[in-house]
Amino acid sequence: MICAVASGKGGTGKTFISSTMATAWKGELTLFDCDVEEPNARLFLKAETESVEEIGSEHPYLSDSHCNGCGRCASLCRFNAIMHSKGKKPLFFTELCHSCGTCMTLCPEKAIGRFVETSGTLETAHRGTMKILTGRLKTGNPLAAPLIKKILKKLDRTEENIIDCPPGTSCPFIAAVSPADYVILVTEETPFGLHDMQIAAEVLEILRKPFGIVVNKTENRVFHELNDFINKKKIEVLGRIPWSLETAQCLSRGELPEEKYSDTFAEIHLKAREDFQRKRGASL
Amino acid sequence: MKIAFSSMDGSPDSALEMRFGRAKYFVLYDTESREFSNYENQSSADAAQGAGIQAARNIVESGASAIISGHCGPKAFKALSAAAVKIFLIEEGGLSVKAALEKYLSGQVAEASNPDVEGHWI
Repeated sequence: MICAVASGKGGTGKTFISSTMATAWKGELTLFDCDVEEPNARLFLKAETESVEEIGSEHPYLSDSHCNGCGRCASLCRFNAIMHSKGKKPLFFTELCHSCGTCMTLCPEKAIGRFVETSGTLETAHRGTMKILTGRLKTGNPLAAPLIKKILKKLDRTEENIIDCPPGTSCPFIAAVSPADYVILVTEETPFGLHDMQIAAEVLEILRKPFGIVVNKTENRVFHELNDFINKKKIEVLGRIPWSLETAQCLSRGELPEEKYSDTFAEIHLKAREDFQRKRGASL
Repeated sequence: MKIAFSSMDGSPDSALEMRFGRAKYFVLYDTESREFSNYENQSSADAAQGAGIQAARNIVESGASAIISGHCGPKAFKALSAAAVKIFLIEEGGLSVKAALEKYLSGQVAEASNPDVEGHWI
């Protein structure tokens, strides 16, 4: 199964949960750290990087002699990365390009070629039977989604995988959850956590991705809005993890409280698998 | 020739919008007929990214050959320059579009030769 751990709001505990869940798995597993702007799962897992691979993204370039200045490319670009004015040739803004390939594919004159530019790196590390693949965005490159898509091409569907997603609910989030079978949304009992989780849930509904919720750092406060949302949407609650100063201190030292949470996270993982099977069965 | 002003609500009496890419409207002034019209820039104001470039494309579509705004970032500047649209910037806040036009017509606004802010400056 491919299980993605996402949240919407940052700092809810995605890396804590995905990394600890990976350590609790008995057997082979690949953990993808797709929080490419600040990947840190490997640091928590104390695994040494063994190899680094450069990852490139494809961007358009214009073959002047073939272009007739029709401007189709600019009108097709969803990312406003192409400027065109009548009678002139288009101007590409590579820094805005999401490497979707539309302009290259649909140019009527076949005047747009592609060049590859390094967008980041993929680092490989191991810890026991766990393989850790870390995506790291090149400093200065503002676009995470093309790199995440490239890195997730390494997914092997026949094996067990966990994806640690980037925060937010825009393109990088969508790129990271898209190949997943199931998404674990991590939230907290705060209005901010709930607000962003609701947006994430809405996006996952559009993507038709089955998902469940983990409420992290719970103080068992009566937070009606969160409970109402869970009940109204009939969302599976996979687990509630109590707030613990000890855990917060452990994590801020860069250590994972693996033993303490081994059973809890094995159970959350199992519940996620069961919920996935059930929802898949219902949709067949 | 047509001049476009970034504007808050599209009327000549409205304030000059200091942002170019995220302006909701452009007020257009035709120097020959001396008439005002407006152009909705919503597609750019709501764009997830590349608002300056989308706004530059809207300017081209509106038929304007010069813009008057508060500030202009590097990508919008490059896109407008590629379309040979002249850029005039008035940093002074609180002017109405009409007042900005008078200032321009009296020759008090110099053409910008460089972007004056970074992208996402606000």
